[in-house]
Amino acid sequence: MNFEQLSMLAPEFTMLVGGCLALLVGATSASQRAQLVSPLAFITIVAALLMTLSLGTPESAQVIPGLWLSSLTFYVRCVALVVGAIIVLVNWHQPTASERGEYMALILFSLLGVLLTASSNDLIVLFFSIELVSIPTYVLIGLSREDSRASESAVKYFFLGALSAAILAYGMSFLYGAAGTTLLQTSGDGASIAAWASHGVMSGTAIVGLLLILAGLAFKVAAVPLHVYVGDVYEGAASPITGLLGFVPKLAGFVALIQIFSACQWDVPDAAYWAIWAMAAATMTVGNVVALLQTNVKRMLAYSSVAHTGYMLVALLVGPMAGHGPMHNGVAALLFYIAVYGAMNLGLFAVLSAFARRGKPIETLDDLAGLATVSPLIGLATAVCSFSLMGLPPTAGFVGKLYVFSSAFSLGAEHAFQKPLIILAVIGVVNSAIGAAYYLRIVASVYIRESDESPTPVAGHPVRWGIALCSIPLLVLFVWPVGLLDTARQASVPTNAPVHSVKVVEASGITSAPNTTPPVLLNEMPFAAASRD
Amino acid sequence: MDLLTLIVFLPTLGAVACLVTPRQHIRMVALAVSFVTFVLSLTLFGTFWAGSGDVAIFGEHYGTLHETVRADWIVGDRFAIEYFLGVDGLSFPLIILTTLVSFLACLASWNFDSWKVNRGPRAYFILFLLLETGMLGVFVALDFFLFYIFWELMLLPMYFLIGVWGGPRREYAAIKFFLFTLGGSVLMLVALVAMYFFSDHAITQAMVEQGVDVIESGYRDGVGVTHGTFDMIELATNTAIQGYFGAKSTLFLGLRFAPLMFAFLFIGFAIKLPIVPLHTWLPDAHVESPTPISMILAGVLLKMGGYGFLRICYPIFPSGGYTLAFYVAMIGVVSIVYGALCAMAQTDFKRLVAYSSVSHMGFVLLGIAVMTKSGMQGAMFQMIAHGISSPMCFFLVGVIYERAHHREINRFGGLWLTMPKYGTMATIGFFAALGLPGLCGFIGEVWVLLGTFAARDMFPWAIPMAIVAASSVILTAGYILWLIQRVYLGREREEYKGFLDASPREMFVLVPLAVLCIALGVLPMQTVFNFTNGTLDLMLAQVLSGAGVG
Amino acid sequence: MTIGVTHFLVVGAVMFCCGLYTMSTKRNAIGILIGVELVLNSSALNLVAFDRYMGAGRLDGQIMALFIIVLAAAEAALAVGICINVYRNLATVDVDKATQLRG
Repeated sequence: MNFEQLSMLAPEFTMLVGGCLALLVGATSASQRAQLVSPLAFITIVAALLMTLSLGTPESAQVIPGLWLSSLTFYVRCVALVVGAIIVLVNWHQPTASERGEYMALILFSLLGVLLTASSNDLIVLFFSIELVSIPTYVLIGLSREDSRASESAVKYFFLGALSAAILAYGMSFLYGAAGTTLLQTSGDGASIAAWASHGVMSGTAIVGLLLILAGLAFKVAAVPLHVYVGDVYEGAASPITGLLGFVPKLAGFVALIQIFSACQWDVPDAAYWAIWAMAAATMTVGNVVALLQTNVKRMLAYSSVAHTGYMLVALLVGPMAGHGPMHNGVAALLFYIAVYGAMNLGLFAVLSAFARRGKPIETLDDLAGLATVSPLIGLATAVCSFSLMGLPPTAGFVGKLYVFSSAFSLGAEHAFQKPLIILAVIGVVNSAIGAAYYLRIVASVYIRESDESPTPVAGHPVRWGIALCSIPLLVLFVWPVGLLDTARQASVPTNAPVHSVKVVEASGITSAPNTTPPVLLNEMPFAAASRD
Repeated sequence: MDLLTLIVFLPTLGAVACLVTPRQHIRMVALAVSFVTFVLSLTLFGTFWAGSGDVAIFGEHYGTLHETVRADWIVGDRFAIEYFLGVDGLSFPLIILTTLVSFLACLASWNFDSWKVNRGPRAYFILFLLLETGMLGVFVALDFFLFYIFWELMLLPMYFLIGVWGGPRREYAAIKFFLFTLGGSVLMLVALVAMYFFSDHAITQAMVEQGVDVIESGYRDGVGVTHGTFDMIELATNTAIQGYFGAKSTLFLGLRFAPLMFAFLFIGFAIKLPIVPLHTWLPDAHVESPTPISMILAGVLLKMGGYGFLRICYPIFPSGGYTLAFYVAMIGVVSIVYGALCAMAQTDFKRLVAYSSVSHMGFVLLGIAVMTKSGMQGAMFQMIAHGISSPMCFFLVGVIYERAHHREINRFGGLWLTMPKYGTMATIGFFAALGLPGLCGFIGEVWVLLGTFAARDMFPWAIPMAIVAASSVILTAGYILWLIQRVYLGREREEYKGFLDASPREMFVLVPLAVLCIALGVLPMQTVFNFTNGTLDLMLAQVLSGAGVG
Repeated sequence: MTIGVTHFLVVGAVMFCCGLYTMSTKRNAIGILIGVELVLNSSALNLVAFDRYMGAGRLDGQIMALFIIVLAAAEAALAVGICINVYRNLATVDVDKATQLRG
């Protein structure tokens, strides 16, 4: 590793330094200085974002031992930092001044973990990046409010999180045992999991490993059956930090899954394939049905986040097999969707944190009644975010859902999993109609219900800006999704598998027009070649 | 700027203008905008003036369009969702109907300030104008994706208009309306995506059969990018796509593609129409809506279902329509009879009119299902006729509700004596709904019944169905005459003595509708058939040949 | 009988299962923490065993095992911190008593 390679980690270093500074500033006793922490955290993230943009997408994926910088890294950095900046805005006045240094530092470290997840090229780095994402969140929940419920949810989250980390490590040990190395990709001929997987033989050890990894990461992304914590944890934590919980671990978990699957050449063994299939179907259905039964808005949104994990799992299952077009590539669809999800989910939690009723934070649907009359603009933002979560035009949520489900439809008849995937997409589409029912209750509370005691606005300007920054892009991305979409598509390119791994049905009607790519042509794609030659 | 874009988005511009207009002038702006939109849409008449069957207007095959606009909207490599608008005989009368009903409904909203709601007029008129854009967009969009977007877009303003400005149970009614429509559009979305990928498959297969190298020719650029289409005309007329869609060997999840997709789309549109048993949202939505919104709901939104059948279901999946004809017609007949029986049982004035809509739209479904010329023509005519008579009926209910503050039919009586002008209008409106010869409701029903009889060679069940549908006219006459007797005739009641007759504004809404009721009934050729039959006949010819019976 | 990689894996699997069992039966937070440690250590054992028998000589597994030991220590510290916080609020570390959040 030389200095030039090191400089490509500038955003990560910025976050690290910013986090440490926040700790230092927060440690001073004077409360005016504690006021500096939030701007400091915001500036750090913006600086890291600017560095990411100035570094740009690497010409070809750079493989350094332990680190892998590609267009995927670029995309995840951008998304994590943009949403991260909004998270800081929403948390601007959280919690009491004396603890704000630690609080902001932990948010920065958690985001740093996401950045590292996207650039890790080694199981060791990957594992510890994910832990870097998770461990700050355990503390953040406890810090977020002075409340026994917060500490209860911190305990629940911590023990399940620790268990899932242990399971993840256990699974990685098997993958290591099968491949003989922890490196994911190599640029040369050296040993790596990618090189091992390209031989096309998955041993039993590797399958056990993949299933355990899946189980460990299912916790991070809140997939059934490891979703049980979400209701309690989301309810217990303060609203502003719940916005982070719904997005940051999920992004890290999905990026890790993409990293591992692409190292395994998307040659997912049947057992794991069906496991994800069942997991996706169950996650969507359980999430939506349980959310339907809630009256507490935070619990409702918690289970809605489970449901959205299910939609994303559908796209993950499609993978990059069916081609590179925006309606075909599951990885591109997933990356697009998760960015949109980050904004719309955070937007609603920001709205919850911007109001209080009878001096208490907003918790139930009744608490929201009459919000639109109190604050028409925030009411409108709530509607936009809700309709986006519903997947309705004219919002980006619709575009995201369209890409996710159409990628599942796009597989040709020659693909062995065509039918199961279409069934899964139909389950997903039906689920998104079920989901509409409870999001509509939020909108109905905000606009239609009247209340003797309307919520009172408690938020400062940063939170209002945060809400605006969440909801306006949702409308813009509907009219003009191409920019983000192209970036997502490019980001998916380094994860593309060579064609031999696509399971092909022999008796196919039109073998001359396959949906799969001739291997030769793959090299012409700008970012595909260097990562796996 | 081209005409259709202007017509569709002028209301949106008006909505933006409403944002900055002072509060007391908002209704003026909204009215002006909807009037200008109406006038602009009238200029379309120029294109269609020459009469039915004219090749220059309607072309030799289905698919001749006017005023077309095409531009790429969302383009990812070689994947295009187009901004594609156009009019032909299917959409033309519905566009005029939409702009007219919107204008009159806007006029009906004039007394907004007396509605005793705690929300100002600004949001109301903005949503009203956005709703008009959504409705017009549905009728002019020819890219299925764009159609779907407009379809969903019109849902949002409607939800708020019912939910915020509605009656006591407005939250329930708005959510019910929303979820029913959304449930249908979910199925539509599945069909939309499936049709896109299957059309790609069809075109690719055709090219392979012709010996074209799909990669060399640039059709596929080698990275698996497909070239399916959302173009509804292309989907209906491209022989490769039609052949592939209709083939028995084309399967979707193990079921035949055409009937399955037809069923998905059918349910999506039929919820809107509505059909029994998916109609339950309709009475609730109508009863809770404010009067102008009821007018739009009955006058325009229900027609979207019928338009969807004519534009998408039948032309693209003719064999599906042929295979499932019995079930579709059966649902139509059940809707006719059930809607009429329910209407008879109502004591709430508005609910009665709502159920009569279910019954009337059943005729539309029956006429389309039998796949004959007069059936299709009658269905189309019935849509237009109902689009004129039902807003009129809802407005008549609204007028009396504003004065009496209740809608109990049995508590009224002798209103004609108190309000002679209003009573006259009411008689015309309800007799038009009844289907009295000489008024608009008659022609549509008769044409549909003739079309059903004419289908006896194709479908052995056509005659029994026609007989049942024809006898239901007795039920219709029953509930409408009984209604008129209870509300307008009889002794003058004390409590209604002081009621003012219809105001000039109310007459301004009612008279054009009444004139149209009579004009359509007396001159059906000159008012509707000349503009629609050309396209309808070509469409039907293509559907029949596609289904293998023509 | 020579001791091979399988034997280590079996020991690891037993530890893994013991850890899961401990976590699901213990009600004391510290007991649950011990269960987590068992699962983590089973993975460390696996890694070392795989490294010894199947590694490519890069000592990847042993390095990861070392890191996992460090992680276990960090998590223990965090767990104790969180437990103290709970003890302050509820005056117990019995997780069955933490039942305010239901839904």
